[in-house]
Amino acid sequence: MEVSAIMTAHREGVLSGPSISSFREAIDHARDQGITVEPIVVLDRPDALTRTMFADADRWGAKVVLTDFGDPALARNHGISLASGRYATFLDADDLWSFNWLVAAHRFCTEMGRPVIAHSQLSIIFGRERLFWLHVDSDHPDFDLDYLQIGNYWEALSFAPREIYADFPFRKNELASGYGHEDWHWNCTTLSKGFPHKPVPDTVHMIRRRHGTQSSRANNSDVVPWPTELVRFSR
Amino acid sequence: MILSRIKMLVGPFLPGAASRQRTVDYTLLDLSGLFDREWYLATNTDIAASGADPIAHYLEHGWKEGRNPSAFFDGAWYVVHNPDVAQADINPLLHYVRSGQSEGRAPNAFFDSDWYRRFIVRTEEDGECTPFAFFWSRDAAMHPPLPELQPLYACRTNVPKDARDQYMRLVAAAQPWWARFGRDKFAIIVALFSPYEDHPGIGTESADTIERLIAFLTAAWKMEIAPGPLFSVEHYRRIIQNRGLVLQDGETLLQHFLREGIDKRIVPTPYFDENYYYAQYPSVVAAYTWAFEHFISRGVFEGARASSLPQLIVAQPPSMRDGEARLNNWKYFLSSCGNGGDLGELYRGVPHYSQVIEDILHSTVFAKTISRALMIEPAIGDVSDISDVHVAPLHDGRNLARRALRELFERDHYDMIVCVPWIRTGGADLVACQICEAVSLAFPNKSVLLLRTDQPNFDRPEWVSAGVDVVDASSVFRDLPPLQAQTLLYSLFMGLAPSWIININSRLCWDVMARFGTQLSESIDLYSYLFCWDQTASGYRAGYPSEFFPGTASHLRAVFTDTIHMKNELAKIYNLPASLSERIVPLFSPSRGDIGGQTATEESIKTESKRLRRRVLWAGRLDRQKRFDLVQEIAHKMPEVDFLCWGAPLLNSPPDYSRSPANLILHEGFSSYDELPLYDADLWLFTSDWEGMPTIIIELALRGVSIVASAVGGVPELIDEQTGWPVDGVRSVDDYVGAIHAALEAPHERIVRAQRLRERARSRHSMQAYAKQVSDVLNEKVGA
Repeated sequence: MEVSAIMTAHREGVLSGPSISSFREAIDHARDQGITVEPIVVLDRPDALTRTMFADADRWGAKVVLTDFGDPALARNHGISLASGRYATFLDADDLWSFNWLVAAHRFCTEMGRPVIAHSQLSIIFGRERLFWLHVDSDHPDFDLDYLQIGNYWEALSFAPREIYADFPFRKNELASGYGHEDWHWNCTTLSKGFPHKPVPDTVHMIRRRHGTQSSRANNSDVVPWPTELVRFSR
Repeated sequence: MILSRIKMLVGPFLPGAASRQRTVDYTLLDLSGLFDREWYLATNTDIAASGADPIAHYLEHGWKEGRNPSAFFDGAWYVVHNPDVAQADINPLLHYVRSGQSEGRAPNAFFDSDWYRRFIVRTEEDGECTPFAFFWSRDAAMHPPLPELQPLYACRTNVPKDARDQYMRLVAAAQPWWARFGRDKFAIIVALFSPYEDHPGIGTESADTIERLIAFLTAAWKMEIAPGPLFSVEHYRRIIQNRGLVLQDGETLLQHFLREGIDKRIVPTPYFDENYYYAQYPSVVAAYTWAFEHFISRGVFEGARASSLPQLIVAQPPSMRDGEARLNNWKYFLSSCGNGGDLGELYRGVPHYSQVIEDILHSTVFAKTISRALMIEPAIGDVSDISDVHVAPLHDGRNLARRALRELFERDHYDMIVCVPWIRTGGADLVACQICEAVSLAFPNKSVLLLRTDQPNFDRPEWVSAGVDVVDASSVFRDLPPLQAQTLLYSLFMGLAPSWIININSRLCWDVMARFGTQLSESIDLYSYLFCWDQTASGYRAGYPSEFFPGTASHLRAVFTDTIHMKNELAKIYNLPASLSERIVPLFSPSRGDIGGQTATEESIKTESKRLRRRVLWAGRLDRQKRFDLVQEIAHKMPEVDFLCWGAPLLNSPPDYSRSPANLILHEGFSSYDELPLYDADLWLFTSDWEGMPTIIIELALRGVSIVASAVGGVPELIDEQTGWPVDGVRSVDDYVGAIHAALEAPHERIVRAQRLRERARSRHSMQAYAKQVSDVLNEKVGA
């Protein structure tokens, strides 16, 4: 198996409909290109409507599991535990991939010849905000590693060798203790372990911004990512 | 000076007066530097062909024929703008050299006198002179001579020493453009010019913007050189070819644009979308202005968008002056056109990412992606209306502050950080310096940072012991919204990774401890000082103890107080269990040195008989807290005693000085206890409505001064019936008067109590004891 495509759903309800279509479109496109893909759906403490939205997922070939973490980090980790692909990638159930994401990211990582973490070249933020977010390459000469002390470069929908996700799982959000931003923390961790983060040319993710998500709660509170060695000036 | 030199040179050799005058005039022009022989001959080929001497020709014929002596001096313009010269019908350059220059008259049109008068704010010290004379006098700090040159002058980094010479060269370089196309079109050339562009062939390595403009104007007069991204040679050539327009002989595309293109409103750059601009900024249409001209002369500086292409968001420094913001908008535009020049750190990356986003948006695969995505989720919307592009960290203003903050620190780690709002002259400021010293004494190998967070004041550098680094970060924090400043200080703490942080009255640090105390306390031991409550004008308590103690108590390893009183107050008010109460640790602030010999009281009693009147001393801030009004009333009631006072208002408005009786003499503040007549006075009076442990009481105690003091806060821990005369009725004038009388009438008792006071102070308030206490707390991580 080449790619484990993991979709995590919580309480997205009807919004997950377009995400399912996007997920399936990218998988079909990859299979058309001869890439084997296993779709995995993690329904993590879903509401009834969201559960209904995925009711026929097994019929289109997805491995569907129900979890009760209530946490996007643990849901992704669980998806990885079920995955068998050489690579793995994530889609949140209210976001969309470009149709070519799996093909382009797979080719990019394969041709790279070393383990890297791939991100979309561009993210289109839509919904509550509208903007383009251009992902940067951590290998670029102007890359400012220290910015990770105060801000995040890459969103969570990455594509990488499955072992990286298995070896460096996402941390559970602990908003009450002041810790969150599992994607930011994961980026810091993997980067500090020597895995570059790179944008894949010609790929786009469409990220929906809405109120009330865990990430928006983290952004609005006194939550910081767990410290990694990147926060220290004396590295 | 030139004239006297000429007389000295030519005087003795001239036979007749007319001939002698011609020689004087000749030499005068020759030495003036305003006659350019080569230029004169090159411009006037008929004279060059005749073999005439250029200066002699100009003196004899040239000026009458309207010929100019150099590119810098414009004789025709000079005559038109100086009617007295026109009326006298005299050689304009000779007039300028003899008197016009010293009278501050301008030599050419390349100086906008009216604008300059409005633009430059002059002080009385600048004296009365013409705008040009003032401009000329500025020399190396020269202002722009024309408004259209403002951006280029404002961007200068390597200003030449001889700016007058450069100005003359600039005028000469601009002269042919100006002469052929006029000032308005010259202004357009300047607006099109980018000093950051790599102009091959202009023949200068200088980074000075004006030097580059001079080189460009000179070279582009004869060569095809694009002034910058606002004029693309290829783009313009394509347009005029498509429209069937032709160049004149020897004409460059830029010259064609100035001659014909502007009138035909040909936009000479692919980076400007005229239709978009009109739609976006309808006021331009309303004013019947050509959009492109509006953009290059105004819009680009105001941050107007040149096209519908989404734009990279580049965060700007928070405290920018308007002029800087305008320049930055211009630099941003230039960088977004792919300029590779040195536009500064702020714009590094903009050319690259501008190209990346443009390539993406124009790619076939992007169009296909969007088309397919919109079929799936219409809510994504028409992406052509998305105007902003974020590229971390360019878009994030916090990163500018982070970098600025990081540059303040030479080290990348400290063992101890002590945060203070500032270092002024207050007791808490002294304590902050003392705890740094104590840590240095107790842990000689540990690095200590004293960090000013709220204000830059650093009034007492002598209080800081050697080896302690002092950094003012207030300028970075002050420019940020509070929440961002807090996050940044949090990341600074995590970055410097100290073992201990002690907060001494820094509001920012309190906020950070309240917001991020949980996270910080996982790797850093946090401490904070609480000295005392403030009081409102109505007498109610207010301040840090109530504001921050409840929210931070669980994160702090210990709360330091400087009195037992404060610990008891906190324990009582918050009903603290033992586990929390134990973590409130009174640290007795050390004195600034032990004083040997007899007590001040013993010394003063020896000289008592020499004093005609009794003498009571008082010193303090003339603020509401210190109750100077009580001192005034006490002095009224004790006319037989002199009250010598020192102080100045700091936090509140000044008291009513007119209420002071004749026996109260007020001096301004003091900087050393040695300035006070402690050994020639009978008593010290201390008044206050609320206190922790005032530093002045400790210092007076160590000198063995007899003290009558308000029994507030921690004062009774030093001043009680054994060691002085405490006054419980802290607002009762009669109680103070009674205590003063009692003390004055008992000289022996004053000595005994002063000696006891000194001993108590020595045992409680030595640096050695303080360092030991601090060391114990930091080492053991436990409370008292």
